[in-house]
Amino acid sequence: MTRITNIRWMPVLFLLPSVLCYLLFKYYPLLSMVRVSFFRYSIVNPPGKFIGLANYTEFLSSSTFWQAVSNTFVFFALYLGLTFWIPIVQALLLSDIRKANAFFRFMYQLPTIMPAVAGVLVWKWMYNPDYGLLNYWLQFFGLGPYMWLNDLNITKLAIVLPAVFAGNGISLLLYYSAIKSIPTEILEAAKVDGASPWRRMWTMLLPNIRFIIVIQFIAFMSGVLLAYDNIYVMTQGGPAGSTTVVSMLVVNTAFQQSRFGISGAMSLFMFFVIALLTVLQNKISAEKD
Amino acid sequence: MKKKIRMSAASVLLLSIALTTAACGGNNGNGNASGNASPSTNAAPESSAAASASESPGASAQAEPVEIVVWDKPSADAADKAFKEEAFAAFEAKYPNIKVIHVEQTKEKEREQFMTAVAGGEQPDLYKNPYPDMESYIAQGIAADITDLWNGFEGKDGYLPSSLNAATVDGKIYGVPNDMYVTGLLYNKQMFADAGLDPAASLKDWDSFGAAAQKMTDASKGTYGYAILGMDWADWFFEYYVWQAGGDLTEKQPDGTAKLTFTSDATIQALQYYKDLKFKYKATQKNVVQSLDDNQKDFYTGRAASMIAGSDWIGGLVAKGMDLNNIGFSALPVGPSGKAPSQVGGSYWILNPKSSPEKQQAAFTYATYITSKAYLESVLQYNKDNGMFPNLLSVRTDVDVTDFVDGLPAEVVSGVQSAAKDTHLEYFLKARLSPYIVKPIQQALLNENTDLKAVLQTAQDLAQKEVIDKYNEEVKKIKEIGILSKRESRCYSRGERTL
Amino acid sequence: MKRTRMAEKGQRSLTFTAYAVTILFTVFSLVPVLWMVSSAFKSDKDIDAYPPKWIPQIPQSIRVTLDYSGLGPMERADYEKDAMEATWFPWMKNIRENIGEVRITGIRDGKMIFQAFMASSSFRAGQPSIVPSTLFTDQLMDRKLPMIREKKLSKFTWYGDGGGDVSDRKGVAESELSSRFADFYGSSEIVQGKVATIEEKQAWIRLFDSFISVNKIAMNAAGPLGFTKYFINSAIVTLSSVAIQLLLGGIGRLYARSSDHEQKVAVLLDYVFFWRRL
Repeated sequence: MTRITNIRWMPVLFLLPSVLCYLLFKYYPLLSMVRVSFFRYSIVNPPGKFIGLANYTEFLSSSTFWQAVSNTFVFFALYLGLTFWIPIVQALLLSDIRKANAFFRFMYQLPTIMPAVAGVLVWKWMYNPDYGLLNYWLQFFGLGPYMWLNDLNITKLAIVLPAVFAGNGISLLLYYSAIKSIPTEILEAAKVDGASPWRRMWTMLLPNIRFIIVIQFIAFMSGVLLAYDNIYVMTQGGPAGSTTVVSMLVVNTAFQQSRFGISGAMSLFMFFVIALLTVLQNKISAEKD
Repeated sequence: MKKKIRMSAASVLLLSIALTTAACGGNNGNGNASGNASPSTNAAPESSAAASASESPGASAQAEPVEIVVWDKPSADAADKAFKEEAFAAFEAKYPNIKVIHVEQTKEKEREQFMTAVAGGEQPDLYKNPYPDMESYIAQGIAADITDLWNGFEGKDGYLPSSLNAATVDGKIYGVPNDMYVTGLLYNKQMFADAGLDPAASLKDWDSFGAAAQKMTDASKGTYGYAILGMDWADWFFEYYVWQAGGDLTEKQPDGTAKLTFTSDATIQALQYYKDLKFKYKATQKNVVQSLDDNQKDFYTGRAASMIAGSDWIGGLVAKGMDLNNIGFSALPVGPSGKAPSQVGGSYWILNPKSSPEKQQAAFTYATYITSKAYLESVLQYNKDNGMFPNLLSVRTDVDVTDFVDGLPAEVVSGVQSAAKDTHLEYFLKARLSPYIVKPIQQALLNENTDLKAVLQTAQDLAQKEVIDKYNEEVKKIKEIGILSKRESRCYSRGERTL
Repeated sequence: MKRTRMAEKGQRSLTFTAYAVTILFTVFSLVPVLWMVSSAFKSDKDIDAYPPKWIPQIPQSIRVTLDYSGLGPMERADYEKDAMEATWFPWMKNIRENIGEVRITGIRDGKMIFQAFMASSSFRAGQPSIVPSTLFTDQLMDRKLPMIREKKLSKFTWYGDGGGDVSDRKGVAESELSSRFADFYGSSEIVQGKVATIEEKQAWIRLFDSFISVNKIAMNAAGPLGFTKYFINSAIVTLSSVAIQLLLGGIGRLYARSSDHEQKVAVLLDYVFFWRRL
């Protein structure tokens, strides 16, 4: 009898601190946000007037919102196409470097010591059409001066470009350690069978780190779809709204226009979109296994 | 034995829960940095003597200590930091029962910081709110109604009546005037001289200005004629050009509703001029969306020959090393309408409607203290003593700034004063409409092939749907309630209805 | 038997690609970091220079000798005020230039009477309050001298009658900065001493003054610890969040790992109080 009561409350107590923190800092704001999204929220007299689904119909019929959604997904595509596979390639090639391997691993980590905002500001300066570094260097290759953040067509690309070179430190280490943990017997066997080094990389290394890649992709997806900091510092939502992503629209609607209800509704929309994508992602990878 | 272990295990768990919540809670309390600075001992004797002769309402009647939060702490590298700290100490000495906690606010993002504080229930007791935000804050109930406090205040006649305009809605007053400025064109005299241009002739009208700016743009030297504002505050300076073309971006109708005039001829002409400055005269910086700070930097480093500025920016530019004798200030070049009104702006101290009456009274005392004749004169004296260019406009009728301008270039002073003669408030509902009008301005500046009428029409339709229709509905509703209650009260007085 | 490495087909190209790509990425990713480091040492003018300058220039030490011979009687305080005016005012006029330090030597009738020194870190820290603009008046320094003395921004060494002899050199160094200083002294009536010489030398040690000035400004804002206070704040936040996560995670994990409940409690107590090594 005593044993049953012991077992029941012990695990609860052990888990209580972390569960409490999680509820307080993750779930409570989420549920508040759901509640707020049904009101025309007044910050002086919360919660304000109950308006049901009016917030939802409003933003869903607003072209500003859909442009922000399109911007978000364009960014997602750009980040995916330009930055996701880079640490994988870097790790694969790094595993083939014998001399000074540790040195190169260290050098890859070096950009992460720079504060992210400082890095973005340096890039912003480099993008200056009048006296920036990039145009100065490109002119030696005969490439015309680009307007970078002043050109509506290449602003998004300009924001993604810094991430191509920096910010890959942690992912690189994850992939590299995954590659190193592949049992050498398989690799030796492949070598004996006559597979060339390139072929080995394609058929042996890459498939074996698939699990890590999937995990990274989930984190990457939600990170990019909700990205705010670097876009904000670089362009504050961009010329003519071309780099306003949904998270930025949410913040602007809330703090510049003081419309907290509708921004809560938009956040909830993003929440469902990302949840849906994650579920789809899990289903696809589960099927493959 | 088992029981003992269970008890210690339980206490350990409780300890860890306590630690967790303490650490989680502790990190969240950094909102209001208490920064009541210690007074500097090397006080300029005049300033503390002057500051103590204040006209604030008798707060000595309050015996209870009261604490208020004011967002006016100077930044660490502010030129007047020592002066402000002395002033804070002088106020404390005069009103020992009012404890003021000074908090520093950010630059360029102060609105967001303020809204966050309001949303979190931590609105400061006093916040310096610029003119354009007054309308929306009053409508939301963020600025407290201080009509009674104001009417009971003996010193109220010392303030310029026009300085209360932007804070008065339906006869009620919502803020204490703090400062005013006018905008005009700031230009670099040396650069004009180097290009062989006479400022008076070049700054006459749109055409002459465009040609002059083009002449001063030299890619090899890295200089250009006019620093245009294209970042997300672009409408702030763009509205002046619409006025110069004879119109405005919005019109307030007699019944209180708003009408958008984004597609009026005046607006289209103004946007065409903006486009011409960039693409036809090629007289602006290439990075049209750079921040206001960068525009100012281009000006004081001698890259930009001219830029629009407020009359109270001159001191800041001089502090960065620009030679005061090299700065000129004039009204903007006139547009097709033959006029170039200056925009008058400024700020008010707004109180927190949710504070207790004692706190509101204390905050009102502080606000009127730092806008009193004695204090403002001590500020002007400090600026004069330290060679800082003062704000040439004052919100008070009993302060004459010209007493404090010895040693300043006379033409700058007269330039500001003449600009102050024809003034215009910013366009109606600016705070709500800003993002909508900024977009077509940026499109015009970034893409030479923009169809101006089309982008302005799109912006107008969007703003109409998302902002104006709702605003007009609200206004009509309030009016109906007003009419209804008037009708009801008439019925009551005629005896047709009983309570 | 000697071990020979079997040369595989494609190994060379792979290794070459690996090195090339890795080196390329590391170099490009370091450009912003290197620019940040190099800008930390540059003067304002150099940061905005076009074409971009990578290598910071050595800050200059400007050494001015002012001759007071033939002027009316002056006290030590007068000389000090004059020295401060001769240091702060022309420096403020040239605030964006690459000035590392300014040394003023006062001489009178062939004898050295004082020496004054100020480093650029002190100038940067004190400039907003001492010389907020380029409007200089004679009364300005009267007001500011006590502040300079209190914060020890400039060093003033008085020799009085006991100073050593000085050589009779005359002349202004031929650089732009020196001539600007000379112009200021010539055109301004505020500084009483007459310029005897202006020399310009390189002051290597002043390269690091930008860091010292940041710390001085931080001391004004954050208290006597200066910049270290911000580091301490970050450290507290980082360490406490790491500690909390270890604690919370560890509790749950250890509970899951041990099988019977007495053992679980013992393991937990070990974990918390380190009775036995885990």
